[in-house]
This record gives sequence, C-alpha cells and structure tokens, in this order.
Amino acid sequence: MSETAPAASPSAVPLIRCRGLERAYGTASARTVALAGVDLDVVKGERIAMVGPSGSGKSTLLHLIGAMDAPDKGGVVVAGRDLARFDDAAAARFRREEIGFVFQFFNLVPTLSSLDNVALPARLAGKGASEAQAAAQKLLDRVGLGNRAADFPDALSGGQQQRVAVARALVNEPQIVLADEPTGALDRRTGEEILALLGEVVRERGATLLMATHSDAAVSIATRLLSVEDGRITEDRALTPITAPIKEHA
Amino acid sequence: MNAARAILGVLLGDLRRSPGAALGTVAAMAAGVSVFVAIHLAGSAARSSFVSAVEAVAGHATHEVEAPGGVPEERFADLATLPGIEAAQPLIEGRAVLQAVVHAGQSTAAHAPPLRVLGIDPFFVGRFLNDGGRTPLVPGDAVARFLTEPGAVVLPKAWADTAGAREGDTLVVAAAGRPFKLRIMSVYEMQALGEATRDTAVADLATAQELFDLSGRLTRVDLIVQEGREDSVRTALAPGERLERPAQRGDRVAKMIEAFRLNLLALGMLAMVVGALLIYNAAQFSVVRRTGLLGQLRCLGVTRPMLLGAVLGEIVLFGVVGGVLGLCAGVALAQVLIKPIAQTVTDLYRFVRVDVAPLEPLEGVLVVLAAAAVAGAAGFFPALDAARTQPKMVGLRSHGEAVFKSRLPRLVLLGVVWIALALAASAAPVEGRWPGFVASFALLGAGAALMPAAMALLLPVVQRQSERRGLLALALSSGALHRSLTRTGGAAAALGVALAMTIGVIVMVHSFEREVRNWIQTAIRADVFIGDAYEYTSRENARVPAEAVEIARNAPGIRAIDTLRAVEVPYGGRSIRFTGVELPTLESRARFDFLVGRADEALDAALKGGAIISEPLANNYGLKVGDTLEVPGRGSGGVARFKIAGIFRDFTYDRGYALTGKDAFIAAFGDPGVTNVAAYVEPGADREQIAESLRKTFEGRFLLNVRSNAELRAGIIDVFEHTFAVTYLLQVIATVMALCGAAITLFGLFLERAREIATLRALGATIAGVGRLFAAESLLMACFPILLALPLGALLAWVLIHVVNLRSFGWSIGYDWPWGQVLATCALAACASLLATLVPLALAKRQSISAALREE
Ligand SMILES: Nc1ncnc2c1ncn2[C@@H]1O[C@H](COP(=O)(O)OP(=O)(O)OP(=O)(O)O)[C@@H](O)[C@H]1O
Ligand SMILES: [Mg+2]
Repeated sequence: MSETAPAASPSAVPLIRCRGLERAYGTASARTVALAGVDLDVVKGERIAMVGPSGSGKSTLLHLIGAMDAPDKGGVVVAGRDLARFDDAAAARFRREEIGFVFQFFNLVPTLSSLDNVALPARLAGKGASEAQAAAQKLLDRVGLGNRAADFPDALSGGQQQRVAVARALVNEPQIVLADEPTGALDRRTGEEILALLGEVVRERGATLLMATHSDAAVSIATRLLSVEDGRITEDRALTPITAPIKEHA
Repeated sequence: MNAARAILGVLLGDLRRSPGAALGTVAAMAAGVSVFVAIHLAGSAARSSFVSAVEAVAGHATHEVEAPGGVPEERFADLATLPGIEAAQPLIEGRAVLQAVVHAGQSTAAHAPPLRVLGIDPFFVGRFLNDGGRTPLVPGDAVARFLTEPGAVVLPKAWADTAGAREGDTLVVAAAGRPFKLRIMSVYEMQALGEATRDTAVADLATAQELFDLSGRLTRVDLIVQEGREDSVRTALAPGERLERPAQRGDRVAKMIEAFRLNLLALGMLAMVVGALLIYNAAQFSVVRRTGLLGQLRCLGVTRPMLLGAVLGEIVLFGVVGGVLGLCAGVALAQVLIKPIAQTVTDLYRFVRVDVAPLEPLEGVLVVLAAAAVAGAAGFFPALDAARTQPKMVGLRSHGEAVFKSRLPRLVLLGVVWIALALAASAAPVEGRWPGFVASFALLGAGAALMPAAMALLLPVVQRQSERRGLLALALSSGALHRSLTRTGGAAAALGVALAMTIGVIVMVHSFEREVRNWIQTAIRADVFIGDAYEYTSRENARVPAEAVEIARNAPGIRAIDTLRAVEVPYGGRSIRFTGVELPTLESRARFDFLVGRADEALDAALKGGAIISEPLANNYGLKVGDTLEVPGRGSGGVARFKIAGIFRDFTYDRGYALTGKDAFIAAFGDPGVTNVAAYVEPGADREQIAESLRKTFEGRFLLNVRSNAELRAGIIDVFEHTFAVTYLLQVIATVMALCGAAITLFGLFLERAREIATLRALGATIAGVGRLFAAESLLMACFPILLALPLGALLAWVLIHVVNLRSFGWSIGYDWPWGQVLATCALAACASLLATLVPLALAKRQSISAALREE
C-alpha cells in the first residue's frame, strides 16, 4: 500500500477520489505494473503537475481518471460518480461533459478545420453546428488563433495545433482538464507559452487541471506537485498555499 | 545493389509492422489475376474440345467429302477411284447415350459420358490413323467377327471403366430416337486415335449405319489427295457434295461458338478490368501510404534512382506474389465455371464434354508477369513523384494525395476521351461485334477515370453541406474519404465499373428474356412436341423414327402433325440450320412472326420451294427478301437455291436458320429422316393427357421426349436461363471482387485511423457514434459507385442490346429497364459495404482507448 495519505481538506469535498488504483499490462509471464496502488484526492480548482520518470504510470493514471481505461483494482469517483459503473455510453458522456483532454501529439482530426476540430466535442454533445462553431470561434480567439479558424491541422505549426487542442479541451466547459505531456512535442519556448495559456484558461473557468509533464515550467502554473515512481505517488506537495491543501511527505 | 537491398529491407520491414496493408495489396492482385485465368481456361477449354475432336479423328486425311443429309454410300467407290486420290475411307460418326449394361444376362442401368461412335471400314482405316496403322484398331484375329457380328464395337478402356462394362457385355444405348444394342467385342487403349477421342468407340460401317438410322448413307468420306490434285477431285463431285480440309470443318464447328465465346471473353475481360483496377489501386496506395517513410529515406541520403528502384522492386514483388496466388485461385475457379459453360455450349450448339486443361507453364509465367507489370505501372508514377520531390515534402502523406489530386484534370480529360471513343465506336459503320465491345470497354474506362474526379469534386461539397446541417458522421466520413482519395477513388471506380457491368447485363438479359417470352407466345403453337430424347447430345443424328411418326399421326385425339427435318449446311464460312416443314394447319402457319414479308404469301412461297429465314440469318449475312439463298445441295452445279420470301423472328438459333417446304427440302438435301414432330390435337382434347398417352405408347420401344406446349415453353426459358447463368456467374464474381476491394480499402482506412477513432472516443464519442461514422463512410463508398453505375449501366445495356446483340447475334431486342432488379443490386452492394464495417467496428469496440492513444 502507498504510504501517501489522501490529501483531503475538511472544507472541500474532493472532486476526484482515487482509491487503491492498480493497473498492470501484459500476460502473467510478462507483466508490467503501471500503477501499484494509488490513492489521490483532488479538490475542485486544483492545478496539479504530475512528474516522474518515463514509464512510471502517469499516463495510466490520467486515462483511468478520464474513463478511458479501467483499473484492475481500486476505483475512481469523480463528482460523486463511480466510474466503474459506467457503460460505454455513460463513459462517453462523462468524457465529453466532464473532461477535457490535451494530448502530447495534439491528435487533431486531420479532415476537419481548426474551427471544426474545436467544435467537435460540442457537436458530439449534441449541440447544433452554429452554436458549436460560435463557441469554438470564441475559444480560438482566446488561444490567439481566431484568424486560422478555416485552416486544417496540417497547415498549422505544432504549437498552433496544441493551442487548437487546448481550445478543443475546453469547448464543453469541463470541470476537469487532463493533459498528458502537452508540451512534450514542442520546443521549450512554445511549450512554456502553451503551459501559460493552459494555466490561464483553466483558472479563468475555475476548472481543475491534472497534467503529466516533464517540463520544469509546469510548476509555475501548478498549485500542487505529484511525483510518481514505479506506479506509486512518492511525493505530494502544495505549491501555492492559496487554493490547495498542503500535504508534505517524506 | 547492397544499398537497394537495404532500402527494400526497410520497406518490407515497414510492411511487417502493418501486415494488413500488404495483405490487402496482395489479395487485390490475386483476385484480379484469378478471374482472368479462370475465364481464359474455361473459355478456351470449350473451344479446344471442339477443334481437337475434329482433328483427332481426321488423322492423316488431307480432305473430306461431305453432303447435306449425308453422302450416298455408293459414291464411295467413285470417290476412292478418282485420279489423284491416294487413299479413301468411308466414315459414319454420331453420338449414342448409354442406358444400361447387360452382363451375363443381367441388365443394370448405367451412366457414362455420351459415346462417340465411329463407323469405319477396317480395310481402309489404317492409312488414316496417326501412327499409320501400326497399332491396328481391331486386333487382326477379330476382324472377321468385327465385320460380321451385328452391333459389335471396340471400346476405349477408360470409357468402359466409367460405364462399368467389360469385354463380352452388351450395351443398351440411345441413338436415333430408340434403344439399340451394342456388343463389346474388345476393350483396349485407343492410342491410335489420341487423347481427344477418349469417348470414341469404333464399329463396323454397317453397324454404325444401323445405329444411327443412316441406311445407305455415310457421314463423310475421308481422302488423302495428292499434292495439287485437289481441283480435279473437286470437278468430279456430285451435286451437293463438297470437298474441304478437316481443319475447315473444325474451323466451322469452332466458329459456331465464336460469338458465344467472344461474349464470354468480353465478360471475362470486363471482369479483368475490375481486377486490373484493383491491382492498380492496391499498388498505388502501397506507395502513397508510405510517402512519409520514403521521405525519410530521401533525407537519409538515398538517391532518386535507388528509391525508385526499391519502391518499384517491392511493388513488382507484390505483383508476383499476388499473381502466383491468383493463378492458383484462377485454376480452382475455372473448375467452377467450366460446368455451366459446357452446359450452355451443349444446349445451344453441340455436345461438349470439357475438362479444364492444365495451365501451360508459359501462360502461367506470362500471367504473373502481366500482373507484375500492371502493379509496376500503377506504382511507377507515385514512386516517381516520391523520388522527385524535395525530401521534406515527401514526408507528408498529404503531399502524395495532393499530387494525386493535381492529376485529376488529366483523369477527367482521359474520361472524356474514353466517352468520345465509346460514341465513335457505337456509331462506327463497321460490321461485326468489335464496335460494341470497344464501346463497352470505353464506357467502363470512362467510368473508371471519372470516378475519382467526381469524388474529389463532390466529397468536399458533401462535407460542407453535412457540416452545415449538423450531420457529424457524414461530415467526418466524407472528409476521411476525400483525404485518402488515392485509395478510395480507385476502389470506388472498381466497384462502380463492376456494378455498371452488372446493371448493364441485368438490363440486357431482362430485355432479352421479355422478348423471348413474348416470342414464345407466338412461336410455340403446337400442342404436343416429339423429339429425340437426346436431341442436345446427338444433334445431327437426332431422329424421330419413322414408325414413331406414324404412331403419332394416327394417335387418338391428334388432328394433324407437322414433321420437321433439319440439316446443318455450310454458309459463308460458317454453319447454318436448314429446316423442311409441312405446315398442315392454321396454327402451324400462325407461329411465324414476320418482320419482313406478308405471312401467307411468304409461307406459300416457302412451301413451293422458296425459303423464309430467321432474323439473325438475315442480319448476319445482310440477306433481304427477294435475295436468293445459295447453299450446297442437289441443285445444278451442286448448289441448292432458295428465293427468300420472308424474314421472321426467332430466338432458338443464334447462327440463324432457314425454312422451306418438306418437298423442296428433300429435293435439295435428300431425306435425313424426321428430327421433330409437332402435333395438333382435336378441339377440346386435353394436351397433357394426349402427351402422357403418347409417352406410354413410346415407352420401351423408343427413346423420345414428348412435351406438351407448356413444357416446351418452360424448356426454352430454361435453356435461356442456362445460357445466361455463366454471364451472371461472372458478374457475381466481378462484383464480389470489387466489393472485397472496397471492403479491404475501408478496412485499411479504419485500421489506419485507430488513433483518430480513439481520439474521437476520448472526446466523448460513443461506440454507437463510431458505428455511425463507419456506416456513413461505407455507405458513401457504395453511393458513389452506385451513382456512377446507374447511368453507366444504362448506357452499357444500350450498347449490349443495340450494338453487341444486334451485330453479333442479329437479334433485335427492345430496351426494358427492370427497376426492381437494378435497385435490388444497388441495395445489395450498399448492404455488403455496410457489412464490411462490422469487423473494424468490433475491433474498435475491443480496442482500449488508452492503448490506441499511446501508439505513435
Ligand atoms: N498497453 C500497454 N501494454 C503493455 N504495457 C503498457 C501498456 N500501456 C502502458 N504500459 C506500461 O505501463 C507502464 C506505465 O506506462 P505509462 O504510459 O503510464 O507511463 P508514463 O509515466 O506515462 O511514461 P511516459 O513519461 O514515458 O509517458 C510502462 O511501463 C508501460 O510500458
Ligand atoms: Mg505518458
């Protein structure tokens, strides 16, 4: 069992509550343990940077919280809802309403324009095309790409594509934004710009951010830092005392 | 060299990572090759069985003498003693069908392929055998028995084994409309006559004459004529006799199925177009798919020629592997095709027993080379593009697509050229069937060229419109299809072409069938029809015995009978059918639907020695009312002349047939005996009952087929349907192939987009939503071909009906569009395309989003 105690504040009900999460891949003979028992509470409004060596289980944890993968043991409760009870439709609904995802390699749909890429989750949520596009245009303006709305992904630079992806993650006004190495495919400067942007837009909306990263700059936008090693949280530290509960751990 | 090998190694290694793409490429090529091989094998088997049968029996004969209705026996001595003749032999040839084998007094019903019986004279035959008579046909000590024992035959061992008969047994066979007993005098390998005669028995001349009811007549006289003496022999011929080389007869026989075979070949080639499109598509995509990899190689310093060589090398390798697999599949497929083809040829022309000949090794090599060449040609331009472009640009898959799209204007131009060619060909004042085939091909070529262009034009429109209307799945799928146009365009073109062919053929067959059904109402008037039970097998020896004719004439309830005599006569280098009739009743006269000529006048003229001819005969030879039809016969100069008094519709003989009165017929060709009887019953009498009682009367004595009017009509429709069975089969194959091509393409697209689909799901799309996306994509993949196939199929049907059918068979058919069948075909294609999404959908469902997102 992890030595890490849940970072619960008596005043705040956690938005995300992970308990005893275990996940392993492969066959019995060649097993890779990705998560070896993770307990984690996240309060609304926290911005968490998760660091750790490659293969330590960061992505796995994000996928579990995003209902894109299921744990072998343990459970995730988000906003009072137990993800284990979701069927495919409920999981899909949860992903598009509660979660915004930013990927390392942007993952824009190549056949859609920037605007339509941003509008896509809104459309998936059943919004009309014009309504979705209006919301998308606003977000594109916000990320500074209002003039590139008609361009297709392959005409955009990596940084621009990631801006589009950030806008896309926010279009349904999710409570939670999950970001898996959002700067991993970008140069240092662009990466820092993206991080700053991400931090700003998340804060503006009062959303909660959970981000796996290798970037030192991530710390500047985070309120809490998690270190992950070998599938466990080995360190959990508050960065600014304002919004995050503090939990020191040796 | 080492560098090229290294590059090839990289390419093949990439394939190992995505075996689906390689498998798709090879499968598409194999499918394309297999259809071609199958049709080639099956089609040529039918022809060669005709020709080799003639040649094998002809042996060393340089010439043969034939006459309509047979050569009178007494002419043999005259012919044999003509100056310039080195050797001569009298010959009877016909087919008998095994009924039973009698062994030690015990008769058992038995089945075996129809037995060809050659009636020979053992004293003359030796010179004509292929080994010059060193292997005697009849063992020396048996000659006396062979000559004297009635019904004695020598059987080929293979046939006897199939029949379960041994030396000393008696065979009951059907010939000339009755059972006949043959005694097996000896059984042995018939090497002297060669492989093609494995079903050939030998009997004494007299036995064969009796067997086939040919008293006093010979089928032909074989001659060995001295060099340069041909003309002097020709001048000594009696009226009606003709001298020709055996090859000419083989040729004439083969020409009989020429139109049929050509149609088959054309269909096969159309199927091949689909195959070639699939190969082309697969090869092209295989290169485009990996432009990224190729770009990296260029970045690593690979030179252009080296890259071009490696890419071509790989695609040609695919062609070879696909070609070899296709070859094997084709040989198997030929086994499936050969039966319906042999059946049709037997129904329509004459009996054939066909086995698929093994593919010649050389042919096999050529086929594989051709497949490799098509693949190489298909891969060449994309490879050249890849090699030519700046390394950085090559890295983008979208660049490959962009290059392809920049070619679209050229494709449109090509399409326009094809259409112009089609128009020119169908309007060309050229005789024969080539214009029709050229026009059909050109139409399909146009369709294939225009399909990607149409998609490039329309898909963005679909995408914009569906986006505006909030049809998300449609918007996403049209975008995806548009982005991979190199692949989707080719697959859609193949499917469109195959569907167009199918629709064209459906419309043609439907129109044809409607015409035939109408025609039957007029043409099949008699109440009861009597014919040889083995009419289709025996053909020229088919007979209703004279006794049976009299029984029918005097049977209770029968008011009148019409007898029909028929011979095949050479005309215009081919063979036509000449028929003599009596026309005793009003109904028998009313059965002709005259296209030209007044019915009563024309029929009276025909009965008085003129002739009426069928539409194909008129169309094929440009004959008109008032012309004189001249055929070999017992008229002055060895020619029988008939003034043409009318042209009537007929769908029974594609090579055409002429009809005259019984007396004129006998005067021109002698009396070969009655081939068919049409009986008319008393008013109020029950046809079925009379047919049944005739059957009872004939039982045991004759082997005749007694059919009521309704049965004969049904039989004709049956033959009609048989005839088009092969056509349909080929259509089905081509369409299934194209559908597989489309399915493989879709499958590849879906697999390739695993990550994109996982992203969609991460963004909140449900599995049902992904299903809708797949469905929209597959329906679009079917829709474009269907939209192309409808007009193209309509045009193709027009060409098939007005150009091919009219010019190659001489049949005029009204155009009739069967909406039900056409729409059902389209719906089927759409359904099949939808079905193709089930597997990728199941895969997507099983795929964990998390895992798919990790892959990079
Ligand atoms: N589908 C899978 N099959 C097998 N092993 C897997 C799979 N997914 C993840 N793993 C393994 O689980 C472990 C944790 O992977 P995870 O992607 O969560 O690490 P990470 O911390 O995100 O690493 P990185 O910083 O490199 O992205 C790794 O050892 C990885 O190899
Ligand atoms: Mg990771």
